[in-house]
Amino acid sequence: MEHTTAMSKRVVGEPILGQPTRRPDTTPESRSADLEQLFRDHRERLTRLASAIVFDRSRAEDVVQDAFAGLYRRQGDVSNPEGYLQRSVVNLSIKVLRRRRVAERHRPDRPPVAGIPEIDETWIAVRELPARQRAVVALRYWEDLSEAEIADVLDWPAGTVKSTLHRALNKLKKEIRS
Amino acid sequence: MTTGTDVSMSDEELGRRLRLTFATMVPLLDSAASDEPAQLLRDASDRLVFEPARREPAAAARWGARVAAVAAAAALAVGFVVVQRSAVDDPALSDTPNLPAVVAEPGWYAVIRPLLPSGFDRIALTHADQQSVAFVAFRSTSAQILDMNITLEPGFDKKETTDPVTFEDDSGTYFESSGGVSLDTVDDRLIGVRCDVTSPLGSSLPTSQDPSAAGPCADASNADPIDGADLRDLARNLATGFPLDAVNESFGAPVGTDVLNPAIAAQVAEFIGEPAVVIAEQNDLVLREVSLSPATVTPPTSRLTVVTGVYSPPAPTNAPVSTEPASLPGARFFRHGAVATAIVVANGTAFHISTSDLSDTNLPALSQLLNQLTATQGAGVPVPPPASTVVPDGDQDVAAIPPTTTMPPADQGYTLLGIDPLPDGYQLLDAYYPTAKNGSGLARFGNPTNTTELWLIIRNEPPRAELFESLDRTTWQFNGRTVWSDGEGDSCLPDACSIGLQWDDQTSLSLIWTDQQGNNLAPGSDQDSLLALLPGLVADDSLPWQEVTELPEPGSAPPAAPIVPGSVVVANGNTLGGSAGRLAEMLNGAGFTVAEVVNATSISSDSVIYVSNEAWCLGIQLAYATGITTTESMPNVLPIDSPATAESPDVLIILGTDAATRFESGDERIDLGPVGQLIVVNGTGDNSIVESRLADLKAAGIQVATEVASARPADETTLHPITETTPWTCGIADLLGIGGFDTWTPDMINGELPEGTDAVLLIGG
Repeated sequence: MEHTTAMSKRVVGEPILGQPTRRPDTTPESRSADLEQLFRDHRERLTRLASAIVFDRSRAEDVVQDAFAGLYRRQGDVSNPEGYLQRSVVNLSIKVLRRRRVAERHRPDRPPVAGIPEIDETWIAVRELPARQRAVVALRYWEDLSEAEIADVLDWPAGTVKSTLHRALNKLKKEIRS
Repeated sequence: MTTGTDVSMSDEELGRRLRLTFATMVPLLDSAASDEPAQLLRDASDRLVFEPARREPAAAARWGARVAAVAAAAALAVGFVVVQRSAVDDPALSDTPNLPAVVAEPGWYAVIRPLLPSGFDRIALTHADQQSVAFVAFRSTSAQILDMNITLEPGFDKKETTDPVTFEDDSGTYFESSGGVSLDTVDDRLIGVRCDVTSPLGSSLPTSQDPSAAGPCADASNADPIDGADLRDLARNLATGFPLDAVNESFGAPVGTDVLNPAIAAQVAEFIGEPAVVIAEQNDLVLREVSLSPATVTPPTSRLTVVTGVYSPPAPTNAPVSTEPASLPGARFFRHGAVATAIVVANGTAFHISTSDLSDTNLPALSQLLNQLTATQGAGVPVPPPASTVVPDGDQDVAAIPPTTTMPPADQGYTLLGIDPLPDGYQLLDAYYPTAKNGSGLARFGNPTNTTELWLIIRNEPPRAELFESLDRTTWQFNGRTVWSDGEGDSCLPDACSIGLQWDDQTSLSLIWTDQQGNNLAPGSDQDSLLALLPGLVADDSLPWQEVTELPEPGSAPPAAPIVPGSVVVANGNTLGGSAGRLAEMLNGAGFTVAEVVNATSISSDSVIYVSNEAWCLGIQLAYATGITTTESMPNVLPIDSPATAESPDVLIILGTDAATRFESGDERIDLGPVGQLIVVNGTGDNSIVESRLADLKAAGIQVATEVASARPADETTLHPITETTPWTCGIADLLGIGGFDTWTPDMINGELPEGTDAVLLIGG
């Protein structure tokens, strides 16, 4: 009886106590369809965000692929796919950057040039930033996110974002002045 | 001014700089990855497909290609809207003001475009209903105009005719005349096709009538003629390929009467000094032809045709739409028989002017009118000059119409430009554009009296005027366009000075004074003198543009000295496998001729270059190129283990352990040392000899700093290094067939040699 009473109080649509919550259709077909839509909607923006951090379009495309692959594997557990993708792209870009820095120590790529001294010297200075600083700068000045939004995207404390950005800007000023 | 040396940069200013930098550079990264093979684009799936999370490099590369291909396929599918929207939605570009409205590709474009000959990609739908449709199409590279009518309903608009049948096939019966064809199809419909160069409406000026049966689009001077057979093919295409049910909701409607800018009519009236007379009209204002001559001039000598609703395919770039008004400095006329025509498509409107008044006063005035009209209409898309070769008639005043030559294919994504007139004393040195798309084109102009060159660089680049304004660069206004200081900040360097300008929405240019030898620029080579050249910029049809696989970057070293010919053998005298082979590849890549790679008889700590008696200049060049400084005469017995099949090489390089790792990566640059300053002394009374020598030097890319008269005649041509013998002087000697060097005697000329002289070429005989 008690069980019946409890059921009668149930709000329509609310999960029945003791029964598994109805989960979204996670068949491979539906997951693939959702991902395709996400891919179409966000691929270009995310690739450009990754490009702004790793300075390499093809690596950026790999980063975005890896981010989508990660989402595919965890899709049932991710409540905010867009946010997950953005955070993944930034973190994966930082990883790529760190790996590449080691490999590039002896043979750096030739960076693209705009042919405008102010732009080129700034780009070179950004290129010299540590990976996390470069990521924050890209989110701030390419994605146009506020410090609070960056903290949200990266799941960092707001103070960490602020200090990282501060150090990055100081370093850039110093590099550009020199 | 904001420059990199500003020590008081605030966070705000740095932030602005960073936004500009990201907005400029990230798209460059995009374009660097855009060279996907066409096959990949065609085969691209628009589905997201996952590969294993941990991929081998080859798989990663395939994925990268697939993602790029998917992106490209998506962009192709949605077309212009997507390309433009990506720029508008871009957060980093959200401050970009006043982007013009996006023009989506109309439905009819995809229906008609595939049926037309190549190049006819600027099209207007001038009429559409269930019974018939009509189009006008422009081919930008030939200035030809197609006027087409297609009836969709059997029997519609058919009239009795007494015209003779000229051809019959499975499609129907053809009635052909000069410049046009009418096809009476087997399903009782009419297809009308006409091609012209002097008027979209067919009301050509009387003097323009082409007496040849080929028609006005097929005169012999046109590099891409359309003759009667082509028109017949087109009519057949339209009869069989144009769907009878094409006119539906997605097809799109002809442009209405409200799109013609009223300011256009006002400007025409102001130009004439009285209201314009409408000569011909079709479908209200979609096409309108007005007289540009006063009413007292009958028939009019100049006419303007305005065609609205012209859809132009997007430029091959993902650049944002230009926010600048279009005024085309020096909008240009081209001759077709006794008539000159000019055409510009600006913001969906085509302006076509034809005139039989070829006077010096009329053509510049009409050109100015065309500039004003396009500036009024909005962002412009200039039509490149025609591919036709137009030979001026002998007895007419054609000073205002420069002679034209065949244009190279205009597929670089930018408009080829030139300068007319050139600064005093300057003449073209060379003009190159790369085979690959979107590489910069470079035209160089030199002056024999100094070493300051004028460079014109053109590139496919999105509009950048706002960027330079944001950087607080000095700017000027020219014909409604922003010109910016284009060098290192605002001021000129001692050896370089430049300005920049957006020519059209896909072409930017730099005008540069530059001295490649690092000397100070000649007096007067400043930004003011560059600005003074702007009125002479023209869509180029006069420079002999050459297509090259690779263009030297601005600021790179000028062409090195000619390589002295001769056979080279490289012998491996160290324990590092493949080092000799890599050196050989590098030398071959630089223009040397390495006949063979062999092993030395023993491992040697020191590298040596053995030189035969006749090849000492080649030895000097190889010593510079390799950095191997020990040179010796060629021994009688070569110190190589395996016998060389090449007979007695001119130079043998033993690559010892000291230089083995120098060429490890295989991509080091071969450096032949600096280019020097060459003075020519004329010691002969035979000018043809001097001209021949100078021509040889010019052809090899060797510049002559100045010419000086000799104090006395010289019997033979000799070369006198003033400083040291370098690969450069060796190259000159070999080029001119001079067997050795002579010591310079100052009394050969009256006065002193110019400061900085590296070598003197005394031309005698």
